[in-house]
Amino acid sequence: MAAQSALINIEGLSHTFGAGATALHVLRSVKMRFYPGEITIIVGPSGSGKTTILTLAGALRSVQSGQVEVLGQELNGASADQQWQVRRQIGFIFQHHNLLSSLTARENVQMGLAHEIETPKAESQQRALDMLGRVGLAEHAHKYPDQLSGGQRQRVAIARALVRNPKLIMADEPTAALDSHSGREVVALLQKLAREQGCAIMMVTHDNRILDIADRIISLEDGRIEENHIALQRIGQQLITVLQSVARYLDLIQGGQHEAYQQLIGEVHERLSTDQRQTQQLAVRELSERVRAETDQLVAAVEQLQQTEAAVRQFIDLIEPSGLIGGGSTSDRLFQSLNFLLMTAADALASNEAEDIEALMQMTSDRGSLMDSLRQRSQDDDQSLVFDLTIAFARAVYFLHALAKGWRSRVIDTTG
Amino acid sequence: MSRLIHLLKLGFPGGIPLAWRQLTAERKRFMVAIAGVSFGSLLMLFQLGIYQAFMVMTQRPIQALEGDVIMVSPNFEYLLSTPPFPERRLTQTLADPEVKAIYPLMISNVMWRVPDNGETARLALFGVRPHANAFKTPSIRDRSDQILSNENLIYDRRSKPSYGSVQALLQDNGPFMGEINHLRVRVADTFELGETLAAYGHAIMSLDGFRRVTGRPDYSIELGLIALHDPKQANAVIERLSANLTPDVRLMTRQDFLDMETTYWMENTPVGFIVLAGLLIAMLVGAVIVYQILYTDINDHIKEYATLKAMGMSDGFFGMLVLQQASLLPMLGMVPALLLSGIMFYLATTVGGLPASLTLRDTGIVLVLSIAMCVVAGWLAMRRLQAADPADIF
Repeated sequence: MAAQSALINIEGLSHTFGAGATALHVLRSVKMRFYPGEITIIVGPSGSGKTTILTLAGALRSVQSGQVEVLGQELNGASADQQWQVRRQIGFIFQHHNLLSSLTARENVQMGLAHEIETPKAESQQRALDMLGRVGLAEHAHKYPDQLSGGQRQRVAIARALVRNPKLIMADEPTAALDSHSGREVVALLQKLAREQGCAIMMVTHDNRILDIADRIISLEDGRIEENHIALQRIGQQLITVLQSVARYLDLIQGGQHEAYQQLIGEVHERLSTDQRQTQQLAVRELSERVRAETDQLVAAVEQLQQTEAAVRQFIDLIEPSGLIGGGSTSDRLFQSLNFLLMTAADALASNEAEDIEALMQMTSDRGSLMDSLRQRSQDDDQSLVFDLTIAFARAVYFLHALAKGWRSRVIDTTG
Repeated sequence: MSRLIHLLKLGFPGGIPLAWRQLTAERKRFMVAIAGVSFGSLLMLFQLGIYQAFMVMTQRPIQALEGDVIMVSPNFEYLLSTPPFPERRLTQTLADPEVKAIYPLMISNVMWRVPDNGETARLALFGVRPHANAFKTPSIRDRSDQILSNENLIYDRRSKPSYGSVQALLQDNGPFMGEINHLRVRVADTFELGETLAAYGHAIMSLDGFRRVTGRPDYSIELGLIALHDPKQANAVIERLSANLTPDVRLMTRQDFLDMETTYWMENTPVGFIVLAGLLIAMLVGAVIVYQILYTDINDHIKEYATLKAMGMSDGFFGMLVLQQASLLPMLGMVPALLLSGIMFYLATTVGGLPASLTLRDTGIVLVLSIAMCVVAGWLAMRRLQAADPADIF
């Protein structure tokens, strides 16, 4: 996979307000990257320089020292014309909607296209209407801002930012002027639309309630940067869901629901390949050491989960045609045992407690040795089937063990 | 051309008349703006109207005279102040085949005894040859017979009212005896001319009568009016005649003569200065009002404009916005200004006796001046917009 190039590449960025004894060093040698389609939230106390980063990367303020490359344009020393060109490719959303009160909602959205001088009137109107439809305001297109609620006005502002199909959206406290309910709605809408258009969002906020929409949270304090990859946590959550789905394979087979079983396999595969793509995309980026380690572990976890899933399917393929489930035989005991192990593993990973995972590891290593004795003592008619089943069982257990091991280090890392 | 289309598109983003919307968004302020610009335009129209009225007044007697070519003394100052020259000079011009007729005119300020109360007043007296009347205005020419007798005088009934109710006296008693320079004259009839900046009243006598009351010798006149067969030949005739003329006279076309009279009054009296100062003050007042309105508008919308700036709108976009607003105002303000000035001029003419009128030329001048004033005001207000830092709205 080719390395993903960053939309914004900030390197050694410093910024000072004022001069002499009263000079205020807001940013010192900051390094940051922002990637396509990624939602990044920048948090930090007042005066930590988060808004300054936004204005510098948005070509709204001149870069004093360091490199700020935005959408392929170096902004340090850029001419006013080059700054305009960059700004025109960015969708801006501000604390206040700043809509023109003399224009209708549609006309305000059209202002987002005003720099496209050659766009015909009809096209500009249609694009604005379509965009208003997507923010759910199609019926309010003819209304003036003072006829709309606060949340609706901010949605018009979002439409104005998105109508130009930007690769990048910069938002400064977009929920500050809204109550918690409409703030939440506005941000969720912003997230949905940004995902649909594949555009990255760079958002500065104080609002802790909306942090969960981010892929990544950057905390700034005294010019120091703390990164928190929400996206990694989200992928971790998804892996647990996948593991739970794999555990359901056995239930479905036991209940004879073959159709549902096939469908679930499809879903699990799709989920796994998405997770694999996302983790690998992250893995090729330039990341901080801690995030790098976490990403590598996740990449491994996805791989182990894929193999576990394959082993479970192999086990099912062996046992299912034999009709031995529920007969009290050795094969049935293996089936129950695997079912139990998978559910325990899903629970342990979901609880994210070090002790649970320790217990799971103990359990998986115990089962390994159990297998050998079981295979030898077996008095079943079909010796060879039991033999194959034990091997498949052991494989599944082995990969579960490896997954648990990787997960343990994750848990210890994040708690320690 | 393509540059113009580009500017137009800049001014109507997405086909939206943004400048108009912003201007009219707040009704009250819009009305105040229109009222302010109207006021400025009205002041300007009024100044120009007054100026025009003075021009008409100073030119009125000359407009009433015959002649395509005028002969005057080289020391001509203005109509009522021009040294005499020998009448022979005028007669000589008859030698030129292009000359159709000549009309001598004598001019003098005389003392007039006001018939109502016996007080004396200064009157401009013209002496004409009854059979070759220098005045072509019908109200004078048709009364040429009334001054055949050198005792008789005809009086300008639009002279200043305090000069006597001559018209009423004539109607009541018929011709009556009056007094000029303490000599008896017979007031036979009236004509219509009107006051000028130089004289509040006029009267006309025959050349003989004129000489009788002024005691002037019989060979000099103040003005020689020469009528040509073809008025277009005026310049050629002047050239031909000038070659044979002694330096105690000069010739000029009727238009040059009119211009000279006007120039005298504009340069030697405060009239021109007052009008110019009035225009400047009106423009200044208008510009201050427009600046105030545009500045307030920009200031109130500075966040929205800064947002547009952040979104990448160029200085040209904002320039067009302010320019459009600045030129819409004077055009809209012109309508009430024209209506009001029309009323004012009507009153000035009927009540004030000032021949003021609304001309297309003045309207054009005022429109251009008020647009100029609004554009300057807009340009000043623009600086507030340029100071809007898009980084500040974050």
